[in-house]
Amino acid sequence: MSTAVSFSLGKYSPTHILVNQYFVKGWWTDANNKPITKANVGDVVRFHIATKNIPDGDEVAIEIMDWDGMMIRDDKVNIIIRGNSGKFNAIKIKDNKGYFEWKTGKSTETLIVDEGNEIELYAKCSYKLEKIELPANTAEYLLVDEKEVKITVLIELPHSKETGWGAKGLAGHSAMAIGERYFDYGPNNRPGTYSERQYDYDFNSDGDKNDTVHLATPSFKNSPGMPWWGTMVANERGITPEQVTLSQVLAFIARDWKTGTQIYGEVHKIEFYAKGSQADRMLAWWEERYKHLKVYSIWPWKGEQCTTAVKSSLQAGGFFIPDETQKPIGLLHDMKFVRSSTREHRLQLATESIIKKQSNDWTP
Amino acid sequence: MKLKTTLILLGVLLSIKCVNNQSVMSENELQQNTPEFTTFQKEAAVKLEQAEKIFLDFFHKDTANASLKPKFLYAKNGYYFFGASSDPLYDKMKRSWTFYKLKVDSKTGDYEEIEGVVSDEIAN
Repeated sequence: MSTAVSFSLGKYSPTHILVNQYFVKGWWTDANNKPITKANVGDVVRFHIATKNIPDGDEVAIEIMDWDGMMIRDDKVNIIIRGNSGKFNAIKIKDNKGYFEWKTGKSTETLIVDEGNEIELYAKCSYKLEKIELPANTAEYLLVDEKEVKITVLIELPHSKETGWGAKGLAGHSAMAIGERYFDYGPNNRPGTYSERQYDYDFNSDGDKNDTVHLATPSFKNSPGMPWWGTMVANERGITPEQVTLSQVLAFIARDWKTGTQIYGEVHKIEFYAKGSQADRMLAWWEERYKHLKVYSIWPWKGEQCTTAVKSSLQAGGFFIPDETQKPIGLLHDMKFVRSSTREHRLQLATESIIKKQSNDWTP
Repeated sequence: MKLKTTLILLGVLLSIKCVNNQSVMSENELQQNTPEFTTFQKEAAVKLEQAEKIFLDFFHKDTANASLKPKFLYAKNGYYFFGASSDPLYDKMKRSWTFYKLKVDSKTGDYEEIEGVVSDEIAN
């Protein structure tokens, strides 16, 4: 009978004594076998063990656990192993060593969200009657957090020479990107025939959303929605608005307004970081909006416009933007108080920069 | 007395306007489908059609102009002036602007890139 006795003096204890027959040590690495103690959801990680007295071909059973502290029972993490063993959750030993590889994914993210914080992983290893928890030192446990995603909000303020509706904010624009994926919303002013089912909107106010309706004079007060800069960039590049990236839009904004961009107001870029689960919720909001573009209107009771669309997405991600915000200038003000939510940038205020000055040669 | 002063002021204002109009007229912008333009065309070595081809070759090389609609603006001082209008569908209030792009020499076909916003009067 083997014996394994572990004396741990706490997470950061330098002292650790192991007495056992089969296990030497265990440690976490990245996909290139570089030892790590931190990873983000989506990363490929490996758990290695070094053994003794275990013949080649035998398997060590593994359970990945989330350490919840000394006083709380740890959670088992459901994982899919891509490792070198034929069996589920097992490492086949060769030359008294072995590892399994694991791409952290949705189940890990769910566990992190449920826990409300990052998780710390170790492995319960067992061979014959010997069982041990590795790495031996809790300081070597693998800290896994959600991936962090950069959120970029782009705000074009109305030109200072604007008048009327333009000066009220209609002439400006609000847009955002989740990582490199770009989204925005504007009016489709083109007269034509539109499907209520496709837009998920009762254009003719007859109580259903099943009709195909001809709209002779759509306008910013009541028109089908469409990606705004996203459509312009997509048309220029021969791609769909869903394929438009942040980099492409930044290049579009940088151009002179007289090249057809129609961007002549001062443009601000605001950046901060969101957790993967928050980014997923914002992404889901935009994907649904692009699927059913609904109705664009400056009247809040009728539809949505560029700024309220960005606001709604940020709110879906758990970021506080007041419901009252309607104009680009208001959103720009609100963004000054938004803080990153990730471990790497925890509570850091969003950064803001002016990426384009207003054009001097523009007049209404 | 008041009437006299008013009439004098009115006269001054009218004369200023006349001078301004003369200055606009002296710019001599020949619009297409006018007798003056037809005369200009007869004497030009490079016809409008050829100049348009030169312009469109230039215009289409710049793919960034995808949403702009190319157009002939006017002829002036022996040159054809070309520009492009923005798509009103890409303005939330359906406004459009016209920009200068190229001028083509009616004698040689040489061309020069030009910039600026065309006034509403000419653009329309």
